[in-house]
Amino acid sequence: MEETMFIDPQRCIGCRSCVAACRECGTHKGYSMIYVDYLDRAETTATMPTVCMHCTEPTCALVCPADAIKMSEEGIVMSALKPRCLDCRNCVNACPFGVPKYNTEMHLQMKCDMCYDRSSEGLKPMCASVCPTGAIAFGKYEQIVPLRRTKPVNVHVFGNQHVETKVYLMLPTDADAVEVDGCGVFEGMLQRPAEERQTPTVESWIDTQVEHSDKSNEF
Amino acid sequence: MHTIKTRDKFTSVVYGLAASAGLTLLVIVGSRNLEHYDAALFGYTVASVVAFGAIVYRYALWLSRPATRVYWRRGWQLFRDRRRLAENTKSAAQTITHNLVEQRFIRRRGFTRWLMHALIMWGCLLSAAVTFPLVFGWIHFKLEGERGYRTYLFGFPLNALDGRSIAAWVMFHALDFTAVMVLAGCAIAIRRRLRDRGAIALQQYMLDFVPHLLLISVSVTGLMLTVSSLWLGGYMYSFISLTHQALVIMTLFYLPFGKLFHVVQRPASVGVELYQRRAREMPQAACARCGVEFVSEMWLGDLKQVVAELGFDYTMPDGRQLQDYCPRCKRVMRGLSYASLPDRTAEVFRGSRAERNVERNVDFGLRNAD
Amino acid sequence: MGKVGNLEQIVAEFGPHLHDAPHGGWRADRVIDKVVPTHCPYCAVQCGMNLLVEDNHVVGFEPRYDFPVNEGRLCPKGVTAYLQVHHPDRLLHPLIKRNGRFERATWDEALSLVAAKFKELQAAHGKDSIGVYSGSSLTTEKTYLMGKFARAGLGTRYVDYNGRLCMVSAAAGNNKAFGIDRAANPWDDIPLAEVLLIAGANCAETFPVLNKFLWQQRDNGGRWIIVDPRETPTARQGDLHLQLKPGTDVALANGMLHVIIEEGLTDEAFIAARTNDWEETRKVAARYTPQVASEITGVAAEKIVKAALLYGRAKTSMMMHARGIEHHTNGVNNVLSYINLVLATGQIGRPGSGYGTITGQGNGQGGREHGQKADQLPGQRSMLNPEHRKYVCGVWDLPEEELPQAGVSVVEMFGKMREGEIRGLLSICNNVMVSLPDTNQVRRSLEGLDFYVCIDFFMSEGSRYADVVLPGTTWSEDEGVTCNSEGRVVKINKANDPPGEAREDWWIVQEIARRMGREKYFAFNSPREIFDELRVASRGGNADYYGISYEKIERQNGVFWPCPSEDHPGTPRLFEERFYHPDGRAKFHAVEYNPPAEVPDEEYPLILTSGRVVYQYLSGNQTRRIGFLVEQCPEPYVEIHPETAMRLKVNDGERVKVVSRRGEGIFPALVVRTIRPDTIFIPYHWGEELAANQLTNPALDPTSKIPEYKACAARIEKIHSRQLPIMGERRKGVSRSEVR
Repeated sequence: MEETMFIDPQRCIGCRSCVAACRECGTHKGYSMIYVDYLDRAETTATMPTVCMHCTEPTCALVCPADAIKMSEEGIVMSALKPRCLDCRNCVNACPFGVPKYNTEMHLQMKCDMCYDRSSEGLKPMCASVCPTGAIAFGKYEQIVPLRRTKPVNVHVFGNQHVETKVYLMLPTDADAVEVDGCGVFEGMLQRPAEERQTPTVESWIDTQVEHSDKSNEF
Repeated sequence: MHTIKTRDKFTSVVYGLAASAGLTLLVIVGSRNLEHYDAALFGYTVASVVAFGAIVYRYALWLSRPATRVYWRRGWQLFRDRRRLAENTKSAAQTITHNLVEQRFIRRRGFTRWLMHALIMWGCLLSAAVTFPLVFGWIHFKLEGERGYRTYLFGFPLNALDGRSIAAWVMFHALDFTAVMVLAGCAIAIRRRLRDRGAIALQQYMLDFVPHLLLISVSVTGLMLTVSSLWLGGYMYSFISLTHQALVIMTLFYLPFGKLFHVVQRPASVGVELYQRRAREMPQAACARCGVEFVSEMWLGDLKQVVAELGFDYTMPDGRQLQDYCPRCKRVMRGLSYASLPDRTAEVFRGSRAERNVERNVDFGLRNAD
Repeated sequence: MGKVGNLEQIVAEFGPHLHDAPHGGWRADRVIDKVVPTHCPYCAVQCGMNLLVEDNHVVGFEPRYDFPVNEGRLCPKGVTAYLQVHHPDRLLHPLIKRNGRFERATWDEALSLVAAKFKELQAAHGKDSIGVYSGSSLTTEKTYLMGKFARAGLGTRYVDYNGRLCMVSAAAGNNKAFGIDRAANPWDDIPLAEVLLIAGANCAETFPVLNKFLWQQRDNGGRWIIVDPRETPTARQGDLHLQLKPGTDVALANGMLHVIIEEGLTDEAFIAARTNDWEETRKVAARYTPQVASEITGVAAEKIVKAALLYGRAKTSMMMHARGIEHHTNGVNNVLSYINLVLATGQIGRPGSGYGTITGQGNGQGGREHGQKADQLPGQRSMLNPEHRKYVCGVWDLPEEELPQAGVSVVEMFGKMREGEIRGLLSICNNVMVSLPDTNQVRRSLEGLDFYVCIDFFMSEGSRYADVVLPGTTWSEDEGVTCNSEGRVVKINKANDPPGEAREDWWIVQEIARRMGREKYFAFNSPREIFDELRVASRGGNADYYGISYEKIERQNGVFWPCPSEDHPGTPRLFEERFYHPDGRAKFHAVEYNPPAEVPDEEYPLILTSGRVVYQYLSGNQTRRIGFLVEQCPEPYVEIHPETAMRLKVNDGERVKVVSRRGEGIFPALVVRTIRPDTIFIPYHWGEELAANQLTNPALDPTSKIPEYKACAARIEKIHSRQLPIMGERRKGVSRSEVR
């Protein structure tokens, strides 16, 4: 498919429409695979929407001991194959974007697959369909980019690692890549006294556990 | 990025050949120098030997993946810990019961899904348990008296059985029952594959339909053999039998490469479960940014090693690895990096930070709120 | 009568309970019988959506890409809207309260009781002893019927609607300035505007899909000036944020006007040709130098100048506002002061140039057009105009002397209940215990009633006080039209039959009228028949629907009123040639700044303002039951600036007591730099002890009678006795997809 996603966090109003609509997709019915995170609510209402960026060399697939994460011909990184997935969760922690989710009880890794049931039929994924501002857009490069004043970039630099992705991030500058160096402008947590930091929790999977939904849908 | 090394390939081939040779030897020994071996089943035997070799080759190759290798070694290392051997054995037994026998995790995905899987799995496993020993000549029967049968395993006699008893009837028709089980399971599976939007979108013919079609055709031809011999006086028996044999051989050859490989791969989840269980008891690594304990130190160390072995270098300017941050902080950090990009006119996420200095000069007229 | 009875039991029986799955659960293997194109039941953007129907149950939605307003986009409320249809809390049969308990009743029993009680009260205390309180989330047909029901059915003068708490200031301002009450431009004009001036509208959270147009304008190189005491996501994204003190809009707008005049940026030709009363306005503005405005508003003078220059120099610009400037005792003046800016720069009646209020409720526009307002008759006609009275009586075939006089606004109606003038009340489509200001007084009003009937599809906080609750329909169970914020009339289509014994609202109201012997006026068999009468009743009025038909709406993706004849395509843009005052000119209004009814003092040093969050809708009766939405925002909080918090020694997440002259409530503190240090904010979607409206001021605007929700004096008290647990990330709205 020629279409891909274009993420423009600048436009995100933090409404989480995408999070709600994500549950409507056939490949993960009832479960949301998208994230909208506050950067630092004390300082700003700014939020970051995160979908799977669909790396051209997916770290998650390579660290999978079961070889369960496959790419489609179009370059979409799929959820782990259910019969293969061994419940190890390496993908969850290896992903540089913090995307895959896991349900321990069902031995089920799930991640954004660009609503494969929709996009493979030429429909927009749910998140890009409902996003009010166009912070998440889906379409062909030549359709979306001329409409925007931001620059599409599909390379992230995490320290020394260049990661190229199928999904584009729209930048307000002329940079060729987004450099994630571990400290951002609102980096507040580490400067705060220790007692104010978030208290460590025993359950380490707070972030990426797939929430329970009712069990009507089968996987 | 990660390609299979020639050395690993070679080792795997050696393992595969050794496995085939080993099985051949077992056939010879088990059938007492082919004394009880049925030559008519030669085709099956060869196919089984080749398929077994291929499975072992594939398994060995699989274990050579960096991620798999680390889990494999660490899993055994944790298991062998002497002080915990009893505990580990107990926990492994528990995992085998829950995950492999009861398959609770599939039950949680849905009852029909579980039923489907249980029918197909037990159908196939029971069939294999019946047929392979017969094919390899490891089991044979001898008439004893009027209507009694005695079973021999590896040439050693076991108990005798009344040929007209219900037990015997069940035993002789075991393959018919398992065939029906497999058919029922496949029917449930295919029904889902035709109706579920997610399944429809993701399924591939070779991966998801071929195994079902193979299992169905093997079961149907197997049942036809029974029908032919019981009610049709052996009508077209040899033709059906040949077809059946061809289909079974195809299925055996499909085993190591297709979806059905999970049958041999899945037991590894016992090791993974043990790894996870031990990891939870060990010291936990805290996220370098938010301080939340999100994963065990051992696991994180292993993961970083695997990531490095695969050729990635996620070293951050401060010397940490990206994997030292919890998933949420990775997302937030990326957002912050984006936010700190200079815009042509203002900061990307405009707002109080950009304007605070202006506002500072204004007296809001706030009285002492205490 | 009217007491709530056993609250715990009512909550246990009728909710709100959380439910978060479609009928029959999340399943990807559905066989969809039909796809029904319709619109969202919530805000006035009226986004198009397709409902997926399986076996007479709404089981999902599909984006409606072909509807031009939203092109498939939806906010989280819209996405989850279909989950309310088969929610387990739905009221499925009529209920009569006996000994403090709601008991199941038959329709016949319940309706007869209502009719008998109404007759009894009217016989004893006169026709006006019954009040009708309606709402703007109903279809236009139903709003028309409610007005007719009150006047022709009950013969009472006391009818009003919940738009009184919502858009009446804008309506009054628009009528004064333009002679008509409708947004002037279609939203297609927004992308053509060089500059947008948005005042008191948190578009990102309250009209999320409107942001589509805002960002299209941005993509065209446009700029936003945002006026808001809080740094909302919209304010954050804007180019210039004027973070004013709540309730000081007149000063700000006059200050901007002052600069515009000084810089010679006014459109003298336009002013001369198309407006009246400029001179007085100019004189008033002359006194509001940026320094004066800055002192009153708390916005730096240079920013006011910057904003004025940006707005004044733009070749095309649009001004939009919402509740933030309207919910004030100066609501109408606030609106007029911004309209002055529009008229002075001549930025109206052209593509890309215009003005509009962003209506709050789904049918906020349609609901204030066809006679459920206290002083209004269908087609935006006036109760006070003898000709209008005559025309409508002619359409209804009602003797003119039987048509009652104009009534009073809803807050005043609730006063009359306490005084005993109104003895019985029928309410539909509202939740008085959440949405009216000063909840404690509202409770007294309800408890003083002799008889209270509610039509509701979920048991609301207000219905708990009712004697009879009649189960109505959700939006997917009936058809009809609504009018969105642009003035575009759209069609709601029926997707499923009402569950249980629930019936269409128009049927219920008609049945009551019939049982009171007024069947002559209520012989409708379908919404279409009501609409046909409405078309005639509105004919020749400002809001002329005569040329609109269901078919035309489908064909044109909505019709903009006025649409006076069947071959008329509708009027997307108003004021291209003339305004709606008799002389065709618009009016300037010289408005002076007046402080809000309550200003901070020693005892109550902070300004409390209230508003909405994106996950809840108005009184929350629908959204507080949907799991997803409640997880995102489970309870109200109070936003406090870190400086204020430090002074009060309040930590983030700590529960504090917020006190005003009318009441107090305990809310967790959200310490954020995105609010002014002198202001605190509480979202108002909750009832009982969580209601922000326990604190708000019921003082009314003299013209529009809107209560002052957006500014009252309050103080924050630390609860010393014990520290309640910090809710942390959950409260901040981090979704469950992240935190478990």
